[in-house]
Amino acid sequence: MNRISSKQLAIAFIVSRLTTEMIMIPGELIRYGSERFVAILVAKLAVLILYLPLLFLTVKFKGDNFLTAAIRRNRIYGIILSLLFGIVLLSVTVNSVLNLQLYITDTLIGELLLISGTALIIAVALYGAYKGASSITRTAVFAVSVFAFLLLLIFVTMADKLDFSYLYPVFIEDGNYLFRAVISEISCNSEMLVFAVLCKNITDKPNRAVYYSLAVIFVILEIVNLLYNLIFGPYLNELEYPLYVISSLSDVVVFQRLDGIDAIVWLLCGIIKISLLFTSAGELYKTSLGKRKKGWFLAIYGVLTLILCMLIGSDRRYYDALQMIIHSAIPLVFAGVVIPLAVLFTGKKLPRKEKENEEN
Amino acid sequence: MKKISIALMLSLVLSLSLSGCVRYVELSDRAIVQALGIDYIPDRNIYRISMQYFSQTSEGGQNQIDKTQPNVLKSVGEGDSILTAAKNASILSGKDLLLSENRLIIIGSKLCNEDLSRTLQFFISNYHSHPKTYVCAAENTAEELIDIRFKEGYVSSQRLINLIENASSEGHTVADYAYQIMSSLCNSTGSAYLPKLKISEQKTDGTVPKESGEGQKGGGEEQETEKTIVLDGGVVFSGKRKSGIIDSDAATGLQFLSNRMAEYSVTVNTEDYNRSTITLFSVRTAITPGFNEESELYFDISVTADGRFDERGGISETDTEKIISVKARAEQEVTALMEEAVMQIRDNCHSDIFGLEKALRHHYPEFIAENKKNITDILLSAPCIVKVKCNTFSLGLESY
Repeated sequence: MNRISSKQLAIAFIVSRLTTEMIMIPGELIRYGSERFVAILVAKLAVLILYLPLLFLTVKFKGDNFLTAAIRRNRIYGIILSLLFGIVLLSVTVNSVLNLQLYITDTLIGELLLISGTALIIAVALYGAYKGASSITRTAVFAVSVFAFLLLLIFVTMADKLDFSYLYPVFIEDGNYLFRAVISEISCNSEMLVFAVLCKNITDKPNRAVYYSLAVIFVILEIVNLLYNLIFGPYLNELEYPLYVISSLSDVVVFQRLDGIDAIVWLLCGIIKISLLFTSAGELYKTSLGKRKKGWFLAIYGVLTLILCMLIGSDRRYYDALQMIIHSAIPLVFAGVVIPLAVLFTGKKLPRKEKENEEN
Repeated sequence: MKKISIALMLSLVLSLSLSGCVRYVELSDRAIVQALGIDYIPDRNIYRISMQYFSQTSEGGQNQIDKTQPNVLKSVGEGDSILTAAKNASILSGKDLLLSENRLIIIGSKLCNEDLSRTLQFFISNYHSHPKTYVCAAENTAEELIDIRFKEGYVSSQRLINLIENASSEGHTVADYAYQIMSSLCNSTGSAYLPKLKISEQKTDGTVPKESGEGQKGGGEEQETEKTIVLDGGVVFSGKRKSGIIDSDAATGLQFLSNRMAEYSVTVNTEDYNRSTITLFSVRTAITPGFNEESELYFDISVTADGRFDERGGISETDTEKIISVKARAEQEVTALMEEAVMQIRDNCHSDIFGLEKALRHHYPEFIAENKKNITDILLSAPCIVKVKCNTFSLGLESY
């Protein structure tokens, strides 16, 4: 089994969530004003509450994930739950791959064909998933270090462009937007699905991964949002990738603009996020069918993801519909809260003797 | 070791083979755009783009830049949209456009009457263009400005960029990047300001414009002149469209009002003290909204600056009375510049470039929420009270 520490998983979660912030949130949900600051805070508190069934589950079943507990009760029941969970996981994966492809074509390589881009993203992410959670989290540590350095560099180089008069002391002006922003912020926490599956791979207390990642992400998101507001003011409402524009404005002595290097780092972060989702799918397969290897499954799952990406990516309406479903937070709540909640009451604990034997 | 070798081999094979999956353009096949002019032809309802791009075969060899040459070529394209016009310009040059090095966009006078945000949106939404691009307005067509080549700097457009940057640092105009103009256009009045460029004739051996120099008076020998580009005030936008033109004094006043003035020299003519020049530095402008006894909104615009006497004009350091008098005259001159700017920009052009709305939102956001419908009228009619305070320094010590 590919074991990782809670801190490693927390770092991977930070990378994953930052990817969503940089690349995947629709531009219309990032608006100038105080609402988004409030939305981030409210959403983080809401996510912490939504995590509760999963956290209780790890405590009740001594580090096992929801699927192990469900299968112990009844294999068919477990397989049905894993299928339902897998559908949500697959839709989130497809959405993430398409978002990353859209980001690449919008900013880096405009002519990149859908099949070339998505196939390459999926292939690299599958390789990461094949190597396991430990390898992905080690890469995430590298990515988050570079990301933090670049963010610091952006702050330093843009210091003279920050206009503090853009801030104003009103917290809620548009209640409707605040509600949509909170829901969208909640839906961006697909790490909850990863945690639901990979919590059994954590060597120490799994709940730490949740606390650490939520706290750090909260601080980083508020800082990045502040940066957006201070640089663009009301023009922020018109931008699709604000941090990309900021990085193209910032220059250091050696580089006239930092957007290219930033985009590459965010691309790496995006692949880490998708790798984590693939790893979770692989673990789901291994646990539900009691298999030891996941290589073939990952290959088939990758092909399935590619086919779905081609189908949904072929028409903007399908893509927008998928985005709408994902950003409604319903799939996340279903897979990350409802299913674990059901298992919390119906799952079966491992008898103490068997648990001791397993640990030995 | 074996794994590392396989990984390295795979990386090499992938990097060699995958590059073929994407269309690429050699650098020599790219038109590296240095400056770009956009005109609108209302009769035909089309855009005309003219661009200066780097000439890679200029004298001095393919890889060396000859600074005595303009080093640019021009290409022109017309189309129903800016994108199609740019593509047509690319066809004419036979090269693929590269906008990432572009540092200047000139908007033609007719295009200034159209929605400026729609024009600039192309350059912001195109992630390959550089958002740190200066935007200026042309007195007539942008193309006539693009046609003028300078033989200073690496490329011709460098001279224009230096002109704008110097004028900005000397306090003669506000120079903004494309993204800053877009931010400005997003306020409720849709306001923006672009420095205005115009063609001027100069003597070949000097930098004095013909009309302001000896050439105007006539009588002397005919001297050869050549066309050059000068800054001449600016174009003000309201409702995202051109609403008026301001002169150089108002442009300087705007620099003070928008808190961008780094340093400014004021020369005071007094009857008995000759000419004294005070240079203002560390200039800070604060716009504070307030309400008078009748609950009417007003804006208190206060400028504080440090000043030093660069030319004393015969005033001794100990002559307190005269120093205070000259300082007061300098403060009056700056106040007059700012009041002129408020009059020309806000009262005549109905534009809020200096950030009255931003200041109001910062201090009284609930007032904006309550008066959302008529906030533009309120902003444009509220009195602006300008106060200037200058602390003069001598030998590094604050004197008066």
